[in-house]
Amino acid sequence: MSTTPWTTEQVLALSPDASSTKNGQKLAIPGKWPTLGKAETFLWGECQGSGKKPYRTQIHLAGPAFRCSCPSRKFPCKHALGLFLLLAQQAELFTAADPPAWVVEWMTKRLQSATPAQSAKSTSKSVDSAAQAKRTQKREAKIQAGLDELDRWLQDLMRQGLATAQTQPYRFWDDIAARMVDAQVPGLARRLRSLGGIPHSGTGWIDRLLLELGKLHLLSQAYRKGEALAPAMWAEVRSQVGWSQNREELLTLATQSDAGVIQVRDRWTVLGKRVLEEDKLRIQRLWLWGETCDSPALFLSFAHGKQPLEMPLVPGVVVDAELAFFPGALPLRMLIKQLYGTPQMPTALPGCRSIEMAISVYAQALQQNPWLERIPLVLEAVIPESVSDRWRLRDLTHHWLPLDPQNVWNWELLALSGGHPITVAGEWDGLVFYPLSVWANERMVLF
Amino acid sequence: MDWKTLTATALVGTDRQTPQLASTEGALDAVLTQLDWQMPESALLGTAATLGLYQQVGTLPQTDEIPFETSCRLEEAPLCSGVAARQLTQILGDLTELGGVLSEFLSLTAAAGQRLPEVVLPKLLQLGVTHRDYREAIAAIVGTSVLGERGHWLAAQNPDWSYAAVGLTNVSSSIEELWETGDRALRSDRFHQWRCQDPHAARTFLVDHWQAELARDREKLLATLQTHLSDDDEPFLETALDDRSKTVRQVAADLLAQLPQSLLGQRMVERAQAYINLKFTGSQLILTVNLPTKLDPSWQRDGIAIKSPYKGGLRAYWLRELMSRTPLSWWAEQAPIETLLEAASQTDWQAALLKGWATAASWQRQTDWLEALVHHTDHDGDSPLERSRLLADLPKDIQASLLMKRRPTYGACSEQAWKDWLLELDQCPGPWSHELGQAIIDHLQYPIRFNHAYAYRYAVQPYLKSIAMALPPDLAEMIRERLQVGDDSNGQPDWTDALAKIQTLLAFRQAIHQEFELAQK
Repeated sequence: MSTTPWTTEQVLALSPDASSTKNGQKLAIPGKWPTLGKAETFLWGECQGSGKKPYRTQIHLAGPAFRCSCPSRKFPCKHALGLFLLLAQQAELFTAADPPAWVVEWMTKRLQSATPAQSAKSTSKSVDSAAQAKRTQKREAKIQAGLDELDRWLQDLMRQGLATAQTQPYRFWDDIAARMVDAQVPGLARRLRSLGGIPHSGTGWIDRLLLELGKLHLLSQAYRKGEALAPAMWAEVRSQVGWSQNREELLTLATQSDAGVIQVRDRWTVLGKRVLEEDKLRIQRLWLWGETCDSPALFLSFAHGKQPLEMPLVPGVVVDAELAFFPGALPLRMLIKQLYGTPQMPTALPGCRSIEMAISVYAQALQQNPWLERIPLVLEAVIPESVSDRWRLRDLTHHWLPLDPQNVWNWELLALSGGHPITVAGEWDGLVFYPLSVWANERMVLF
Repeated sequence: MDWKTLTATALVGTDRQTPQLASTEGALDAVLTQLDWQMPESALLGTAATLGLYQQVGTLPQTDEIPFETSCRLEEAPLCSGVAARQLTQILGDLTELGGVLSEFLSLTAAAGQRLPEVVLPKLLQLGVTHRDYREAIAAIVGTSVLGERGHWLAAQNPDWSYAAVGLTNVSSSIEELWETGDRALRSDRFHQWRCQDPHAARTFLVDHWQAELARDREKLLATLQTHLSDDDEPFLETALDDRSKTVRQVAADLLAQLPQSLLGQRMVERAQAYINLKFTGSQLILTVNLPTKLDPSWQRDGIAIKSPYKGGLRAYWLRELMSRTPLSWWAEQAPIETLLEAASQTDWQAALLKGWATAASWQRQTDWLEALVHHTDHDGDSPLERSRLLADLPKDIQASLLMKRRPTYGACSEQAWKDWLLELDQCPGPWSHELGQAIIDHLQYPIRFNHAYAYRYAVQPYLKSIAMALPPDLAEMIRERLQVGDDSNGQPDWTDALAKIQTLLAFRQAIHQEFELAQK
């Protein structure tokens, strides 16, 4: 393995799209970069483009963060990708040097903003608390009206029975979902929209639909209890319903070491990422697993249209970091409070379990949070196989989990295994497993 | 209330069936009794949540005791470097620009005795199915270290990839079974692999199974003998001249014509002796052709058709075919090549003679004849021969020197001369010699040096990509220095782009070569 902890695969995981990948790779040759340099966690280069002036590209490895003088709106742009790839592939080209003025300027800015307390404090002050309280009150009223409507809808459905659910058009589910959007409970709206597919999902649909309806009912009931719930459960219910979690507030509380914020410093392995599209919104789930705490963490990011997704950590690295978790029944979603040192290459995957043990971890998580949708699992010594065209992972005790039919990596899993046991990390939603990365032949391979 | 009763009630609706609290005789009762059973719908939903979650939490993974598939043997060949693996991923990710490099990459890996990382194998094997253009390059690494134990094992798991499902062991061990059960394409792929590995054994196998094959299969399999064709194949080919199928007979005759020592060659010599008269008057050779008006059936057996597929005289066609199949060694006994060419030009049969000799020279791989015929086209502007075709059959060093000799200079020749030369160049596959490569780089400089060389640019543009594929990769530095176009302001942005593309492609090829050279050290 090279001396740099960055591999090409990790760098390419940052690429916003396929054409950026292609163009970035084309720029990853020394000839394109008349000047290259590095100082501590910063590196920079000048890239000869088609114009007279070269583009000035910089990377701050803590993050990583990028900056380039090119006009591209993509992020990171092809120059930043090219420069980063060059580091991953030929780190020796970057010699320590005094940073030029244009680098110093950015360095100063970056190092200042690295202390989040300052920036968070200044913004929290500017909020007009009276106006905010009024807005909150207004929203609460809307939400209560929305919950009443949802309850009526659920009860009507129960009175009439689910037999007709299979003949209902998607509009039937989308209408109530839209009304929940109006009532400012997007979390409920999302759950309702996803119901539409269940009646067409084959055997057992009625069981799955009834369970989901039951969970919606439970959520609506729980919300009405309000602060009578335990604080963590109340926070969970609020966020399930659709109150957004305030990032700045979390970071502020974290820097003040507020007792209500769970903070964990550990060696975290970035197991992988999954990006999904809902309407025009892209959602990225970046899953981590802590070596000592032996539990998962989730970094969520959202982007509209062609906006870049935030990627504070690259899949496939191990970082020493302190994470601040959003409050919840089972705290999963987090922000990175502080990174220590530079990312390392993993020597094994943490959190490995047999299928039986992994499922019991899931069961425990579900007990804590009944609305839990998925957690990451790291399955030890499993063999991918296809039985009558259905793919699954089975371990030597013969327990097996079905692979998500939507995952496109079945043959890659088989190739990496060759019929021998491998370690597979992925998302488990109670029904299917979606692979994110594999540990085989002493290496981590990311999908 | 158990889950089954619950779903039954939910299905018909509480209007028709009122849910009843019934003991589950377990911990759940405490929860269920708290529900408001005066509100049947809420009670039903509450029960669904309780029982459903209870079940969800208690769900254990399923088991299946069926034995696992046989696992793959351990690898022997070393893995290619991480850099090489990335280069391959880059090729597979950008086939439009880099697809041409795939076969070069794979053969370098094979030459280094290395194998590819497991994770790229599915994409590569699938590429051989979906893109016929790459099938040959991928089929060529079947049975080599490149696919490794894993690649061959994997190919056996997917029926689409069966073309690659032969182990690193000898093909012959698996062919008997395949012959009975495999489909047509697979059998012919596999037979071709075997012929490459062991020409002798493959032919013997074909002889043994010959009678049972259908005509179209016989034709295809027989054509496979082109690979490593030798005099050892002659007895079998001779019997195939009497095959039931006309197309099989033709394939056999065309193969035999490439073996000048064959009985067919001797029969052709006898025919030439009978119908072509050579007489010296002083130092001048007089060549007279005296073909019959009716063709002897024995000619047909040897592959010369009665009817001509071309326009023009029937006897001219027969003569051309006879010349194509007569050993050139016999001609060499009669007179020097130059004298023969001169004598041919004095007859009415010149075109047929030259075309026939050209085919014979290519079939019998006679460099001196090919070269003499190329020179002939230099001197005779109306020559019926296609110079570029002759060049393509010559050894690389001769090709290069012939191309160098004729290379046009900017401003000193016609546009047509440019185009002709580029066409010839295109017929000569790479890698080209350094000298030729440098000459080509000189040419590519013209549009930079002479700002308005539009005609040249348009002529050369379609060939740029194949030029970048055929140049020796270590000329990448040179091309970068010499073809430095600077900024776009001199009004040639498309040319700048085109040059930048070939620079990138060549630099990429150079990087691949360097990577495998490193691995050899």
